Order: sequence, then C-alpha cells, then structure tokens
Amino acid sequence: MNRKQLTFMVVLCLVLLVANSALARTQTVSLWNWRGETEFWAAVEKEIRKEHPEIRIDYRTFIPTEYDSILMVGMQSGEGPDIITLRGGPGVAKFAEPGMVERLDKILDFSLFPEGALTQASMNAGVYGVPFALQTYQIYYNKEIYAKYGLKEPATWDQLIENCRVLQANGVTPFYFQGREGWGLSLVQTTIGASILGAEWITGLVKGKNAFTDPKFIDSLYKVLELKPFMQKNFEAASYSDMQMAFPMEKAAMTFGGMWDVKSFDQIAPEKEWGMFLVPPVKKTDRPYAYAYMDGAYGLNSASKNREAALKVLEFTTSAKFGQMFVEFNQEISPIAGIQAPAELTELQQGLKFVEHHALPDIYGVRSVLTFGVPDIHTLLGAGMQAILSGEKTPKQLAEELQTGIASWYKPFQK
Amino acid sequence: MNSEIPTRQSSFLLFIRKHNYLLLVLPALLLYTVFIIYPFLNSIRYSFFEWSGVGPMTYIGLGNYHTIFFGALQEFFVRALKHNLFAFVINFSLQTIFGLGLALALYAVTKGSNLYKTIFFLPNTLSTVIVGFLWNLLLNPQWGMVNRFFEMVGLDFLSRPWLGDPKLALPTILAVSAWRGLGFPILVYLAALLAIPEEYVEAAKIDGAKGFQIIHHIYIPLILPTTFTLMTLSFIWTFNMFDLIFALQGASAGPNYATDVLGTLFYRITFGGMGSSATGMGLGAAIAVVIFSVLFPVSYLLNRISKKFEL
Repeated sequence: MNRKQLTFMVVLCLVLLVANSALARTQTVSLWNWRGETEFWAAVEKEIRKEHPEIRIDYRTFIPTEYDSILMVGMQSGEGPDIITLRGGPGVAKFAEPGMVERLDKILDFSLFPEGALTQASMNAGVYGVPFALQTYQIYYNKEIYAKYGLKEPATWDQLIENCRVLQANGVTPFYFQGREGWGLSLVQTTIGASILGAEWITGLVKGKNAFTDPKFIDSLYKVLELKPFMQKNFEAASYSDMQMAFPMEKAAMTFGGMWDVKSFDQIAPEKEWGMFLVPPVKKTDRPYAYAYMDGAYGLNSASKNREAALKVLEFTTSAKFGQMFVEFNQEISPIAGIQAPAELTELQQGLKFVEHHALPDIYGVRSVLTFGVPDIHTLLGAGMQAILSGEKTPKQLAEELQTGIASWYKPFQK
Repeated sequence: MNSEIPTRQSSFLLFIRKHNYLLLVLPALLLYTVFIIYPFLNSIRYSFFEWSGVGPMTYIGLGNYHTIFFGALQEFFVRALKHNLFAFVINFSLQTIFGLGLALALYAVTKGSNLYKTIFFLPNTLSTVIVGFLWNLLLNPQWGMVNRFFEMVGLDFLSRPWLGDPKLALPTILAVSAWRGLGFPILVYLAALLAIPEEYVEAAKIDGAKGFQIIHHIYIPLILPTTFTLMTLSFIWTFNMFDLIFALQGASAGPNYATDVLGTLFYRITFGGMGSSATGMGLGAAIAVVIFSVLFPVSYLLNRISKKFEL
C-alpha cells in the first residue's frame, strides 16, 4: 500500500467514524397517523431540531379506514410506533385502559388546553393524549350563488327551506348531498340535531333523562327528510369525495361539510368564496349550536424504546407554536387556547367562533360516550339515515332502534 | 433400561426410513402449522373471550356465539348470511350460463379464439382495488359513464344510484364481480370441452344427434364434474367475499347494510369500521369460526358429490 492509498484509507475511516457517531446520536421517533400530513410533520421536525438536533420524526400515514386495524396489529405485536395518533373518545380509552399508552398529565404541561378539549383525551381523570384538532360540521354555501339570488344566511329552519325553494325555482340544485357513506350521514344528522334539539336536551339524553324515542328527536330525523327534495339527483350514490369535488365545482349552492373540507374546496376552486353557517334553529329566539368534537390526540406508546425523544416531540405538540403551525398548515382548529387563524382564512376564523360561542357541552354522535360500546351510535345512525332516506324505515322506527341498541350496553339508558 | 434405548432409536430410524416422505413434507407442514393451523386454533380460543383486541381478555364461554345467534348481532348475522347465499346463487348462475355459453362459443370458433380468450380473461388479472376504483368511476351518479350513456340515449329512467340504492347495490356489485371473474369459468369449461374425446361426438352424429342434442347428451353430462368443481369454488369465493365490497362500499357495506356479507360483518365487528366505534376481537373471532363451520362441511360435501360424477 503506497502513501496515497494509506492516506485515503485513514480519511475514509475517519469519515465513517464521524458519520457513525452522528447516526448513533440521532434518535428517530416513529409516529403513525391516518391524516395525510407529511409536509406538516416535516416542518414540525425542522422546528423541533432547532432545540433538539438529534431528533428525527419518522412519520407514516395510513388509509383512514385501514389505520385502526394496522395500529391494533402493530400494538399487539410490539411493533407499534413511539407516538400513536389516537381517535378521540373511545379511541383514547381503548389504549389507555390496558395501559398501552402512558398517562401524560403528570409529565406534560396541559395548561394551554381548555378542559373540554382534554375530556375526550382522558380516562378516569387522567389525560392520555395531546389533543390536536377540534372539528365542527356545518353548512357551506357558495357566496356568489347566494348573492345572485339575493339570499341571506338563514336565521331559522324555515328560512333555510325558503332559500332552497328559491334556488330550486331558479334551476340551481340547493344541496349537494353525499348519501353513500353512513358516517357522513351520521355527521349530517348530529349537525342538524345540535340546533334542533339544543344543548339542554342533548345533555339530558347523554345522562339518560331523555330518550331517542322522544318526539323532539324524531322531529330532528324528519328535518333531514325535509331536505330530500332539495338534494341532487341520485344523491344516494354520491360519496364524500364526490361532494368534496362537486360543491366547489358549483354543482349545488350548499353542502354539509367539516372544517377539514375548506382546504380541498380552496384547492379545487381557489377563486371562489365560501360562506358557512350553523344549522338554524326552529325559532329565531333559539340559539344555534355547533357539533364540535375532538378529532384525536397524540399518545405515548408505553412500550416505546425512544421514550425520552418521543416525550420531547409530545412536549412540542402542547406548545402554542405547534398550535399555530397546525392551524396554518392544515387550516383546522387547534384546541390550544389563544391560537388565532390568519386573516385570509375567513372560514377558519368563523369555525373558531363556532367553537368558542356555540359548541355543545355534550355530544351524542361521533366521538361521544355513545360510541364506546357495540352497537355504537355513529354506525347505527349512519345506516339508519340511509334507511330513512330510501324509505326503508320511518324516523320513529329508527329512533326505537337507536334507543334499544344503545340501551343494550349504555348504563344511563338502562335505568 | 440401557437395552431399551437403542431399540427405541433403531425403531424410530426404521420408521423414518420406511416413511421418509414425511421429511419432505415437514417444511411445508411447519409453514402450514405456523400460518394456518395455529392462527385458526387461536381464533377458536379468542371466540370464547370478550376482548377488544388490546388489553385484558375476559372468558365468557359461548357468550359471543349467543350474541351472534340470539343476541344483538342476530339480525346482522342473518342478513349477511342471506346476502352470501344470494351472492352464491347469482355468481354460480352467471358463471354457468355465461361461462358455459361463451366456452361453447369459443369451442366452436376456429379463428381468433385466443384473442377472445385473452379479452375475457383480462379483467381477472386486475387487482380488486383497481376494479373497485374503475367501477366507482363508471358508476358515479354524476359523471360516471354508465349513467351518462343512459341519459345520452334517452333512457333517463335507467340513470340510477347504482351503489346507493339498497335494492340495486348488491346486484350491481355482483355484476361487477361477474365481469371481473367470468374469464375463469370460461377457461375451465373450455378445457373440459376440449378434453371430451372427439369419437363421442362423432358417434352421436352418426346416430343422428344434432346441435342442441349433442350439447344436452354429450357435453353437459361430461362436464358435470367441472360444474361441481366450479360450484364448490363459487361457494368458497362467495362465502369469503369481502374485498370488492370493501373497495366499493367500505366496511359499513352500505347503504344500510344492503351489501353486508359475513366478511364485512366480521371486519366491522373486529376492527370497528372507521375506527370511531368499539372493536370486538373475540366477537369477530366467533364470526370467523361460524364462517368456517359453514364453509368446511358444505365444500367437503360438494367435493364428494362432484367425485361421484367423475367418469
């Protein structure tokens, strides 16, 4: 070996040594999620690395309908991620109960979170996840179409029906409705139910004082049927993604949608303007309510091999900085107190107002306590709404089915 | 004592020498045990527990089976079972009528037979996800080709919510399934027809038999074992049906469970559908055991019957 070769070998060894020690210092935190947020988490990693340069985030996203089964298998086999994205309510309890996720309220500072947001990430007074998004479901309308026919945001249910009539008389489909996926219909019913039933009645329902078979609830089911003549042709076969495409393409003047839909509406038709309003109550004097729920929370896998690094990532998710990034990147509502939406995101600003001033204190559909057992309300309501809309069942029959189904396992209904 | 050991050893060696094929079977047997037998036995064990899939398991004896046959799941189970049976009848009828019909046509065709075979078999090579995606587009209520076509030719009444109407959804999915799978029975029937000795047909012709008489008295009896084999396969496929329904309607098998079969019921109960509901691994395992208990004896019986018709 000549001198040149020897020098090359020494340099190569040194480079490998340095690279190896750098790699050894790197701590990779794995995170699984059902939400397509690759860019967002790359930005989060960049932010965290300013203080903790050794941390890397291995972010993996899965198809929402397959996420839960993949996570369950991963956790059972000990191959789960360090940080788990848990669905709110029963999703948190499912992993907290057997101790598969760590209790976090004694390790992390949750002072920036309102109590309401922490409830759906808690079990037995302990917080097991960092809530990341509050969702609301409401009616979106195309501002241009509304202006063209001199329509205003309705203050009562009758005004909403009147708006539909005006639109229909002018050859405009009033509502683009997705009828194919039960979960979407369940969200529509609870959105209508929020304002038609009111906060007091819903709290009474959750406590077992009221029943689904009460005429008031049956009336809220009839309200969905009242909208049927104003839905597009063959709405029964339209999927949620059809709705996400058709509404911004002006196939209808209004649609029911979640806070998460704004981003896709804007991507499809950036030049259009959307307005949104809560389902109007029957009487003008009644208050409209928003069905707001916590979408999910980040939990710490009890079997994590990178516990310290994972905690640093979770610590960041409890900060105002993370909340601000979440709002700006995802255009959704962060549960962290005091986070403001940028001025250009008007829908988001309105969504924040809905949560602040109109959120129901108790909920009865998705993410509620009525989804903790089998059969759950979200599934029963979704399929039941399809049955009502196709004429297979009457609202009364569905109400009886809901009451019997939930009472089979939910204690307050068994009194 | 000491004298016994060599005797035992030698008898073991003798046994292995005599049955050395067992050594060749061993690797496959091991794999089969690990990936089939063990999970299956485990499923039977889980079916006696109340278990969400994570956390502690509570032994409840036959509680899950009671829930399926007499409890909260009875309605779901009976409906799903009926849908499976309906799927089997439709699937088997379509593959017999169209599969045999097209196979007879291909048998008679002298030119371009290979091209037709390729065309008929092509959908079979597509993955379920692609088939689901493709038909989702074609059957889209607003911009799908199917409804557009009917509207264009003035048959507006046929522009329907194919996957959204509880009465149409399952037949539509079965039609898609037939479109995808028809190539297989065509090829199997064609192979069976080609295996029939030419002398039988010639003898029949000498005896004065013509067209349909030859089909009725020669072809059909001789391809009866093939029909039974296809019936067995059709039964197994339709009772394991899941992927196409999941690709087109999701785990909720809507609308209002109109396309729910035992496979989707199992998935929804076990994994909780969209994840917004509770999960029941124990209950799901019980459903899986019930599916097996239906599939195994019926498939065995059909297989035995088909053997009786073999020449």
